[in-house]
Amino acid sequence: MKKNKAMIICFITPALITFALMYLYPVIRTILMSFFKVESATAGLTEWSFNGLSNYISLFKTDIFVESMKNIAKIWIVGGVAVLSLSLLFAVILTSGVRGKNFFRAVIYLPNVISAVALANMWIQFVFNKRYGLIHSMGKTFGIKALSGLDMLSSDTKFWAMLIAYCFGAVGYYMLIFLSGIERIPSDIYEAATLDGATKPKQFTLITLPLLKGVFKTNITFWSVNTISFYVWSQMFSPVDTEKSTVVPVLYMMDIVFGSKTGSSVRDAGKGAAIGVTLAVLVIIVFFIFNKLIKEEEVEY
Amino acid sequence: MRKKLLCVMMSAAMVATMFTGCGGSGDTKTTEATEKATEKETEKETEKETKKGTDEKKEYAKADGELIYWSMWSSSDPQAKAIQEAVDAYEEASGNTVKIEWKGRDIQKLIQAALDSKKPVDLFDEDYFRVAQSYAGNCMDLTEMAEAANYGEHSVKGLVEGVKEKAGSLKAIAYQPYTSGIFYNKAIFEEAGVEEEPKTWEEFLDVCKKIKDAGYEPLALDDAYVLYNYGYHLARYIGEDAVKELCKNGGWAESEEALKAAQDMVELIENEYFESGVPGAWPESENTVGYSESAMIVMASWLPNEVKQNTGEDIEWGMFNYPTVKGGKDKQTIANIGAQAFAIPKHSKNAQAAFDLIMTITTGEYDQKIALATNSIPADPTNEEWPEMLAPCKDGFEALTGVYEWNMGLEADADFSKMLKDSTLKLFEGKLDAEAFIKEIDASSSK
Repeated sequence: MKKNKAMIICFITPALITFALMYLYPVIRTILMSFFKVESATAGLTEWSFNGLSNYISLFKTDIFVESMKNIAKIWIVGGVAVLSLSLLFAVILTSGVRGKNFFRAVIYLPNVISAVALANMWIQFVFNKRYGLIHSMGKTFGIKALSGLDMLSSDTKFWAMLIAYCFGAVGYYMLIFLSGIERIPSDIYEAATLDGATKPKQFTLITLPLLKGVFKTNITFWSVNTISFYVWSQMFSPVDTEKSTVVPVLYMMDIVFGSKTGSSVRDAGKGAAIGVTLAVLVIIVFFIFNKLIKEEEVEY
Repeated sequence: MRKKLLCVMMSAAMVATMFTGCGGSGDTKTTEATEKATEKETEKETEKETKKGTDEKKEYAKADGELIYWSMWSSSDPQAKAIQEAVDAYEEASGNTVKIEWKGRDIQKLIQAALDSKKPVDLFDEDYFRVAQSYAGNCMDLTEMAEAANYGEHSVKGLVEGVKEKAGSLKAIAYQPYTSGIFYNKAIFEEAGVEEEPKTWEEFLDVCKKIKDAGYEPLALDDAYVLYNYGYHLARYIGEDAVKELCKNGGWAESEEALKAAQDMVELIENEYFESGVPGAWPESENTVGYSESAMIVMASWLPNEVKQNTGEDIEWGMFNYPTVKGGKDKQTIANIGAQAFAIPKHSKNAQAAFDLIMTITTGEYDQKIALATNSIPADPTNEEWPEMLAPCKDGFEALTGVYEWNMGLEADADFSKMLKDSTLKLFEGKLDAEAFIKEIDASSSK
């Protein structure tokens, strides 16, 4: 027994140390840093000066940060509803026995394999471009002026252009999770329902949806985490400097921790850490709420 | 028993070597300052002896081990290839070995941590402005070495002054400078009968009219550069410092010039002097200059190369500095210029060797080669040959008497500039008139 304990310690210690060093230490440091005035993220402790809550207070007084929080809220709610309902729809269609299921699954998942940078470029240059983009050309061909003159990348609509492009790429991922969830529901339940005369929509609302609660929770958590860390698309849609219409907290954080792309902004790692902590707290809150809201049923597959 | 003794002795020896190892570095640290001077002298003497035969050649400091260079380029960039050539030449001449780590643009996220943790880096390059503003505290003052190397004659004054102003002393060596102003398609100017480059805003408006009458679009502008356009115009009225003042402390509603500058922009829009897609999604609109649809664009000197790569068109470029405005403060000889810059971390033990390498890259023969290979302006003014597409910028660049920062001071408050950008976009989109524009930015600046 004694030997066994030694073995356990031997095996666990490296993992524990790595965990503490690579994960716990940065987390604690970041939380601490958010209460201090620090210029660079790697500055030694001697350069920190205690700041209390003022990093947080000044953050929420900064217009551009508030805008970034509004943007992320829009992405989370509007994008979330769109992506999750579309992916559920696709998953239901694909499991309903259509032909070429594997083909469609691959096609819908495909954008996930392509890098976000390439995808964003495709949307900006080939779809939204107002000289030769897809929308413009279609409007021209069919003589629809509203389409051919549409400038999705103007300051008013840029955000929605970005959101559409982002959701397009995201659907496949959530569809796969729904798909596996639906496939785990035993087919005899559906057979029994069909024999009892339940229509397909009825089967969906009364069987599929209730049995997918757990999967929903997983997907919402994933969506929240992905939304919080959203920033590549913002960067692609405002390539030279950060813009109000597309700014998100992580992009703003990058700007104030590493200096903006145009090189002129003053760095403030303490404030950056405060953004990080705020976002982490947000994810925890969302997770907690949905944990309470969606109670997992005893029957689940 | 013997075994035990042996064990004790061996471990004692091991510990002892460890201690001497530590002690060694500790010692050098404490006596570093006093020994540095004598060390350098002896180094130089020994080098002199070894290089007596070739006394025309420069003397190079010996590096202690490898020189480590963190580069802002990716190994596939043309800049990287040109710099590699310079480094090879340096290695051969100095006998030092240089280890280059091509970090690419990610260096922005890596270098501060490397500086703070005193990683072995002897030199690095990054954006000129960020080096002078953000990293200068961890970088070495190069004034003495620069004087010894006669750097003053091989550098662009405006850039050197810019570093000193931001960093307190010469802590960065600029290279690959850019200048800015209004770039134009020469063929369109000729066709429209424009013989002289405009010097004032009125003359500029005349040129726009002539071009419009000749059937071309006078001006292009991309969304990424709306602040750049408005900033240039505003700075011509009140100067960069006043622009910064406005951004930091507000007062937009009271500033007649801010309104006037916005009205001038609206006038351009109302006269349809901008091409119809303005502001384009970068680089959509600047490409129209390459396609010979638009004639002019306010931009920095990387434009010709960028347009050539985007459009494949090789047009003949002209360029003039941004015109003056009526009653304005600033002359035509002030422009936004900038660069990339080298710096040496404070903790580097091979400062002189690193500095020699920087000089090899940024002055003389290799600076010339890098400029030609990457279509950029030579950092060393004694290098007379400019890449063909940038030759039109030469006179304007050499005539400069003052410099602006990027966006001419509109970036003074980074948080505000992002809100300002949004309003400025709307101004150029024609969704806000001048008064509404000023009202909107005044509201977001007074918060």
